Amino acid sequence: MTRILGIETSCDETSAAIVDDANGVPTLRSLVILSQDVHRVFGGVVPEIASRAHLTAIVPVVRETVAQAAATLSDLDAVAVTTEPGLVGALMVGLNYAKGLSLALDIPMIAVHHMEGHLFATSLDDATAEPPFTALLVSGGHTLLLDVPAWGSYKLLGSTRDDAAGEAFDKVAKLLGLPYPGGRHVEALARDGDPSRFRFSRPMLHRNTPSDDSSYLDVSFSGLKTAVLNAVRGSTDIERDRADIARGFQDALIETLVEKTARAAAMFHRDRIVLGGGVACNRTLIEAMRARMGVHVEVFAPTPRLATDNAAMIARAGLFRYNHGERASLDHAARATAPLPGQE
Amino acid sequence: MPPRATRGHLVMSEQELIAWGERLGADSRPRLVIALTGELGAGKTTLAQAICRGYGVTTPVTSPTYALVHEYAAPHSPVFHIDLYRIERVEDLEQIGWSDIVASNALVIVEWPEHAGDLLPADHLPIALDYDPERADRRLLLAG
Repeated sequence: MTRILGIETSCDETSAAIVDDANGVPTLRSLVILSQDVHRVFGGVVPEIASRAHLTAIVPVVRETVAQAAATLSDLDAVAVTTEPGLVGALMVGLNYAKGLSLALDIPMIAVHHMEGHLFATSLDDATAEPPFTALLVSGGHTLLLDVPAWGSYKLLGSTRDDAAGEAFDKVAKLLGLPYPGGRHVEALARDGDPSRFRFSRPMLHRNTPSDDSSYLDVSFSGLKTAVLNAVRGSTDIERDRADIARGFQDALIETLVEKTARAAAMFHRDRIVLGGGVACNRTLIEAMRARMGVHVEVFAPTPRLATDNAAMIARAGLFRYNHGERASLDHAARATAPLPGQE
Repeated sequence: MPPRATRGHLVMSEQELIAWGERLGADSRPRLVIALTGELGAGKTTLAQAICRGYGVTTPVTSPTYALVHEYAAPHSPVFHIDLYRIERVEDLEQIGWSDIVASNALVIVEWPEHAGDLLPADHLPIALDYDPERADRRLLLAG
């Protein structure tokens, strides 16, 4: 059996988790996520505060994770840590802690790409969420459409030309006077909205785009944000219109994501779709995806705690890399941006 | 300062804004710090993308709001595209390597430069974008 501790500090969650494969199936034994609520005040991540908060939190978070798994540090076979992409100062807190553990316990350290973690997250809820599948990763910083023929082999099909999906939710929330992070507030407000009052155009969703054109699978949300802004500015009674604007925005964004994902799945004849990232918490998105795909395509969405940033997915991806003999050296550096390993 | 940065307000459609940005990018040489101000949705990212394209960046230019800094390669120098939207205190600028970036021989495009306070280099090129109160599809641009 292999037991791996995962560590994630790439943005504003300090998280640790233990995953093992005792029953032959990778299983989550414990997961602790400490969110930095201080950022709600600022409406975003503050790099210096994030680094300092990780520094304060990392030791108690790991201790609690080990205790919840009824284990001790000496039971660990390896430590997996997010090394890219993210805020470098924040990544370095987790990375340096992992290096210290690796040295002190004489166990290998495994470097994990944060977005590869998101691809593995859903498989901890449902072990059948494994390749081949089409993946849609949607978060504050990323919007990626990928084909995954096998773990470790990733074909990037499309991404955002400007704003990420979660960023669009956050900025529209701000325009509508809603709190940060904006996703669930916009979704809740949109539930009461009239879908017919504000119909925003679907960005890059022309019916006759040839499939070899890059706009066939890319997305763009900057223009949608501007359309929302124009609607807000043009409103004579924003209290009356807010829910309807939220509904119009969310419908346009979701239809775009669903249609692009459907195109990608059809292109590679995939009958499984795996969602990941914070926007994958959006029930309306999941339901729209299931409705669009029909009964022959299975749509997997992670539970909310595994959709947003967490260390369980890092431990799970780390287990995969560990089993393939990968080991990171102690001079491994954190990187702000990096393509997925094995990406073509 | 680039020769064709026009003084005074220009009223532009999105296509004109893009063409203007591409020309500014083509005329730009390092070291140059461009400070882009304007509300959410005013067109800052659209203009930044056009400037980068004109300067010779061939890879996609996406919003740096979450990553804070994006770096691109171009023929004359690297390009740093910075978004200070989420930076609330000037002390936090050093966490993204601000002083090294703005001093380097590069094209630096800064969105929400007002968040840099006194740390914005005095010799920057200011560009302000605003809505046209008359028409939703037009933008007002004030440069230099």
